[in-house]
Amino acid sequence: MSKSVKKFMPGDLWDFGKNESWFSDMALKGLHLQSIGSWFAVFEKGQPQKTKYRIEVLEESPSQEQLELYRECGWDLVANKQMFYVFSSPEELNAPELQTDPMEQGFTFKMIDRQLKKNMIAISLLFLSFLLSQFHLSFQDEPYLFLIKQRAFTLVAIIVPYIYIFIESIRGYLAVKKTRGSLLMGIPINHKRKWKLSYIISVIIHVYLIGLIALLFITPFYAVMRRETYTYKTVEDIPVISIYDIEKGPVYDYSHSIDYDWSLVSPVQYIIYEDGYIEGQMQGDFSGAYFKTSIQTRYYELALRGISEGLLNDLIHRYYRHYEEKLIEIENERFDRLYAASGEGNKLIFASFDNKVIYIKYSGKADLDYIISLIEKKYNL
Amino acid sequence: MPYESGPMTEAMYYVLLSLLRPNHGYQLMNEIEKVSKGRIKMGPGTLYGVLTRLLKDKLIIVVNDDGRRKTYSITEDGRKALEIEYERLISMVNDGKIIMEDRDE
Repeated sequence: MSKSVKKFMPGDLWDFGKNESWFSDMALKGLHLQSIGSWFAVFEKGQPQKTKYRIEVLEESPSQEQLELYRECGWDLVANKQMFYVFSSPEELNAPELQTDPMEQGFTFKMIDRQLKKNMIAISLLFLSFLLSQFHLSFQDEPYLFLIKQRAFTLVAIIVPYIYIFIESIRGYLAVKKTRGSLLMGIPINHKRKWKLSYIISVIIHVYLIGLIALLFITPFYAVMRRETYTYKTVEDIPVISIYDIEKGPVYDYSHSIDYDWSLVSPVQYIIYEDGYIEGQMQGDFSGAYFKTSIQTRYYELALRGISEGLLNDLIHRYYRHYEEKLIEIENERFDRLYAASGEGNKLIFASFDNKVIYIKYSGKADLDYIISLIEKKYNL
Repeated sequence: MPYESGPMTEAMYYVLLSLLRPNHGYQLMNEIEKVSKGRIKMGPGTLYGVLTRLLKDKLIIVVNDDGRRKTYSITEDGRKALEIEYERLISMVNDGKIIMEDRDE
């Protein structure tokens, strides 16, 4: 049995001239067209041969009689996909052309024309409804907090192929309209159109899209796999400052939770809560014997350093809200940016440095400067 | 329904003309060459394209289909359309005679 070679087939069959000259060039290399699938054309390995190819649009599958007549004229049916039929003829046979009247051939395009138009309208409607369904996203007032979620990437990964299909359907429709127009004006199809450049471009686009779609399918699973709520881990294992770092004495009734999340944009994300009680100065009436102390930390490591500033702003926007103390920017060359608000109960710190962004909400006795110095020490700033 | 789509293509005209006598696709090609006195060698793709279109417009019908081959024949509408086209061509030729008169002067 002879060997078959599969080759990626870009674009659609309606691009007659390009596909015909591509098949001919393959035959010259000894690869003879055998069949056409939705993504690939299959070639049979053989002797190099000068071969002409012609693509025909047939509304109904051709009758035996019709194929016989074609064969009589030197044309054999080699492949078929939907309404497109590919015929071949060895060049030395000098077979007469299948289509001798460009205008009549233009009429046969009416059907592709209609079908592509239907496609285009359907795809446009789908695309539009998809955009409308995602319309609320344009109202995001915290875009960076959204961006670090894996969902954001999934959305991009869906939109890009969508846009591609949308553009392709319009491009296809216009190309067919143009071919049909020139046929109706009596200009025959150029069977030797250059195909190489558009082939290469198409391969690049498809590889890129397939990569994107693969990511689209893999990353949500990966994100879910990585997402964890640790109950066994202690805060010491995590690159954040713990309540034990802040409080000098023993902490009673300690409890904590650690949530980890992953996304392409921010592969390390921690949300940590710790609370407990520390001993205080006992008063005469036993009040004040113990003080509650708690810390909440949101810690992000970003794959793109450029968004750290935006993320910091979003964190401030979300968590500083309804807080009465003034938020002040603290000049500290060890941080890219450092903001803090300090009141009776809570102390808020928003900091960014390198590719890291931190938000800390602490309520306890320790003062702000001390916590900031702990942060500096923790991250070797 | 009379044919109202304007001037015919040469291919369409000759297919209709050749189908004044019922014929099947296979022999039609030779018939067209004969009718046009060898001037027109119609490609099989064009021939079947025209046949499909004419069937849809009901200018021809299939009079016999034995499964292996179909025999086509012109319909009354087809004959009318052909006559109209013939008249149009005649007046075109007549109108064109001024070329000759111009030459004579």
